[in-house]
Amino acid sequence: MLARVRSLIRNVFRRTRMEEDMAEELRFHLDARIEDLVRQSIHPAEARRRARLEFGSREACMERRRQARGLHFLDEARQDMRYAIRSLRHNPGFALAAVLSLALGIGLNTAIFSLLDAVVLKSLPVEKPGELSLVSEYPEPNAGRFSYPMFERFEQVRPAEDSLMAMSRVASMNAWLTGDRQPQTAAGQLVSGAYFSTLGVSPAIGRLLSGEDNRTIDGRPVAVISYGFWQNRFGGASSVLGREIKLNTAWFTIVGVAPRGFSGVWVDKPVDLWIPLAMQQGVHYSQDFSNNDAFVDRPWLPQDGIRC
Amino acid sequence: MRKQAELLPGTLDLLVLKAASLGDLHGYGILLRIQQISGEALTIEQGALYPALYRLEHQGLLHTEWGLSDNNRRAKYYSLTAAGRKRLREETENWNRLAAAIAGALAARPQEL
Repeated sequence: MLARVRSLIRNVFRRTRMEEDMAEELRFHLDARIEDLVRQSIHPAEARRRARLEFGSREACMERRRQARGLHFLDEARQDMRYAIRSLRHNPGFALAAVLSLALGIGLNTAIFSLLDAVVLKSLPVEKPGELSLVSEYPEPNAGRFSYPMFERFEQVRPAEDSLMAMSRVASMNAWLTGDRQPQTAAGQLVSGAYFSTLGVSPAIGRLLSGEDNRTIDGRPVAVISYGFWQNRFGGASSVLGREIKLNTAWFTIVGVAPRGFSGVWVDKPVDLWIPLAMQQGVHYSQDFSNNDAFVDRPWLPQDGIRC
Repeated sequence: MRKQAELLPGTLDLLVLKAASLGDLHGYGILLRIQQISGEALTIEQGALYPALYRLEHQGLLHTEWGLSDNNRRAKYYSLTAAGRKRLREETENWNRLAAAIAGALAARPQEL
């Protein structure tokens, strides 16, 4: 078996050489045969004719020898290729359809894989993605939504500090930088103080949000921006720290940039800005109404003297 | 002209191995050697010889080397490899068994049954 493989490899790579060898061997054979016949006092011309005749077709012999060496598949592949190209040229409509469907098929597969890769295969760029759990409640449609009192109860039984955090949905907000006439759309998310520390991410520059920022209603209008937002809107300049940005109706001070590659926990909804949950009214965020036993039209955090 | 026998299928390889086992030969020499050792009773189709040679080389049973012939021409010489010797031994045994069995069968007479 090994000898066969070796012989095949040698034959494939030294094909021309082999062909020459074959031809030379056949020439030698014919000449030797002619000499023998001449020695039997046959006229040289007749001897040549007879030797040729005895041997049969030269080309057929070479072909059979090539087959014997396992090279015929190369010849056949080349013929098939030529035939394929010829028929495609004769039938451009079919060729186009074939190429298009192949391209579409490959493209679609690539797209599906990219999606699968992002959603299923890649883990979150946080410290221990495997240890994260999303708390949810059944039945739908309010699964995953909890009132603040419920969240407080969770906080009382959490195993450690920095092990529980709450966040709103990702919302589209109007963002103005100082001097902007027109706002630009940015994806904002309201998060509790332990958001970043629970995920275990650290800032690229500046600082991330902490429990202090959520202590008082409307108390700390600070924001953390994503690395991508920093690069796109501020060119990655470190002077971004301390800059003011207006979201909907409230001004925020940028205090830090999240690490590169981190854009929130939902891959399909990358976040540009994170702001404290206590700033909910400032940005007129009302989509994430409370549920459980709380009022849906009140802010999530209890305020204005109302304990929800 | 003497009556010459057609080769049975599969026997050409055996004859080629046998011929090569008697000394290194070029292709034409193998052809002559087979005719010689069979007492001119076997004809080898010349076009069939080389495919057989290449097949056996491809299987690692024959070793080839370029050398000079008696009349000082470059020629390819074939010799048996160790695997070729082993194959020749096995094939010879098989052939003898088969030939003996057929000869015995053909020699059977009614009273022996």
